[in-house]
Amino acid sequence: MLPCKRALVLSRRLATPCITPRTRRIHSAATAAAATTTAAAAAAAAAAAAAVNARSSVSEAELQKFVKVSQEWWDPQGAFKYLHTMNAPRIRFIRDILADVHRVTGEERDSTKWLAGKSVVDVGCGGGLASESLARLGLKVLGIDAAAENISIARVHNPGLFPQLEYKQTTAEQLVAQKEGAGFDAVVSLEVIEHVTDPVLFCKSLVELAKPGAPLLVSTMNRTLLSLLVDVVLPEYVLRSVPRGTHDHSKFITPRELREIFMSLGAQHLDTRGLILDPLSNQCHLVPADLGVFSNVGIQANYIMAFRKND
Amino acid sequence: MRVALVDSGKLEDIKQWKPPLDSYLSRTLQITASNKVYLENHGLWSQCYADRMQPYDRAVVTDSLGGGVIDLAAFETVESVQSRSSVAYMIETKNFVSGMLKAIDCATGCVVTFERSRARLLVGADGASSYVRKCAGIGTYGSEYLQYGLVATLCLEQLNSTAYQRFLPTGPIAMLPFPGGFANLVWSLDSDHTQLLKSAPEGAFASLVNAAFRLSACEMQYLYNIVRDGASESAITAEADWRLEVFARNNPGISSPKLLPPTIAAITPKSRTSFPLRMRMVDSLIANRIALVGDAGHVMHPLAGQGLNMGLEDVQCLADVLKQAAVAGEDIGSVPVLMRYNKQRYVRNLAMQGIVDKTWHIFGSNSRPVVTARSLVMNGLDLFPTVKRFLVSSIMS
Repeated sequence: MLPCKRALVLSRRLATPCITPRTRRIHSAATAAAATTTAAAAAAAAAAAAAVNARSSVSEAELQKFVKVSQEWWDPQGAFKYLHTMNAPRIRFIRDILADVHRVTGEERDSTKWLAGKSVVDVGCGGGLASESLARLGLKVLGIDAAAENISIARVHNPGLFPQLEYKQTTAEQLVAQKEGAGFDAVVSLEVIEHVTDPVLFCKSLVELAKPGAPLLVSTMNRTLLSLLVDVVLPEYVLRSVPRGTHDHSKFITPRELREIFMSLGAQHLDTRGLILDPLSNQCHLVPADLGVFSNVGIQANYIMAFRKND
Repeated sequence: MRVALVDSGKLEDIKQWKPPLDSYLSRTLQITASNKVYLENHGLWSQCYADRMQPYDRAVVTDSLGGGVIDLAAFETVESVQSRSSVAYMIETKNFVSGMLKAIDCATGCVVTFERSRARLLVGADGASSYVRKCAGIGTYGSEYLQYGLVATLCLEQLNSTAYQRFLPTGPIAMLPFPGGFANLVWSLDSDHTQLLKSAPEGAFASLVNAAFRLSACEMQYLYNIVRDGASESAITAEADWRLEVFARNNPGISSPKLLPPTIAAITPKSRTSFPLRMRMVDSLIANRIALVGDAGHVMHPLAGQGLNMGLEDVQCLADVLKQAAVAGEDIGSVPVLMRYNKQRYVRNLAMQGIVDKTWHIFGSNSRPVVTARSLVMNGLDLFPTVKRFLVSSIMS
């Protein structure tokens, strides 16, 4: 962690004063993306914390970060701009994993028939960006978040998808304890795990929410020099498109650690993809972890991982 | 996805359209080879009357002032040898529209409705003076050409499958082939000449079209003058025919490589009609929950016959973008999704409009250097098969 702190101080001293409005605009895309992801994660974390009095992975401090910016969830140019950009490739990936798990091939893959009625829980749904998209595919979606502000915004932004789409202010742990929502056909948690206090406990709840054989999808940020730059320094200190302190680089989890956590909890690893954001064209690309001979280059910053709960 | 089609016209009547047996309608469309393939693949092309469309694989473009000539033939392109397709297809507008409507009947999940409805995306395909565009507050800019397109159905003395276009100082004139020795005329003229030629006797009109493809600008001016002075049908015809005879005597070789269209015997009675020509560009093809396609998003001069083809490309692009968005569970009416459509089409449409507009201005000029330059370029291009091949393949797609 020492080099990271040093880099932060350095960036604060050097980068900030020489930013012109123009460069700020150009670079703000990158920062904003990072910021949004952090915010979403924080929201999820907050939700988790608030819900459970007993053991919970939710951090109250993290939760408050997201409450502050919750009004901006559905503004495509707002603080969550890059979360909007990253949404489509992530949903496409989730859809592909579901198709693989259910062995849907050929032209049927592009239809929505096979998706209809399958249940998904979106843990740390924030303003409902991913939940709505999943519901639009025909899935029966339950979006949960520890922050009441997020849930009310998600509910207000209703594109007429009810009853496919339902929101609830609760945490993964609570949901497991209630037993009512257990046994989902898929569990999704996007940009949340880096904001929780106890990642292992959080992952345990995710696995418990899934039906045996059901896929689990988790996206977060790697703990590398690159992620420090593009997910923390640029958005929070250079472009200042994301409130400072939204992300704590030391809480980021590497793909290896995440894989080990889930394997120990009785899930097998299916796939890992990197998410690379192009701030100029405002497009997000899903890339393989290894690019040619360069292993793990694709997952140096944002990544998404798919697991399958053992039968 | 549920689709509702809303139109102010009587769609049922157009769908039941029975083509006249003895002639062709004068409002026609040109469809490029690549768009025809797209329509075929979606089962739309087969719903049109196939015996009423004419493929053509050769186009001859001439310039009346400088004497430039380009002869574009599709057989010169590699692609057409492989796929044996044509440059483009001529089809009557009604034949095309009724075919599309019949195809919609066959498709599932599509409703024709006039009722109030709400949608996540409104596609404005309502033409040059689009109401959707107006309501969306999308601004337009552009120019009036102060010209009219005079169209008519021609009966030729022989069968023809070549398109001819000649640039006159008054505007371009084009003859586009139809089956059975028919052809469609598209003649761009200012409002004076349009009125003059529309009111000229039908028998004399055929002679005037023959003259326009052959005679010089000042001879045409003389003919317009005698029409304006109210000369009788036989007097105009006699004057034009005499001049055409002199022209044929003086240019014995010119019809051998078929650079001239076949002689017109007559025009179909009451087929002459006209419409104003404009160029309109839009500020954007999209707004929140709104996408513009076709003439709603771009109005241009018909000299290249590209208006509908650009519209069909808009549709292909939009359909593709929406499909990708639907697969990813995105809101199909949201700006980020529609932005992808705008990004792909806006600049291309603008470029095509620019090319057509510049062509019109270059050929509308009487200035000697411009006339010399354009004829040099045309004749120069005609010498290089590779360049022509490129031109033809770009027309085809």
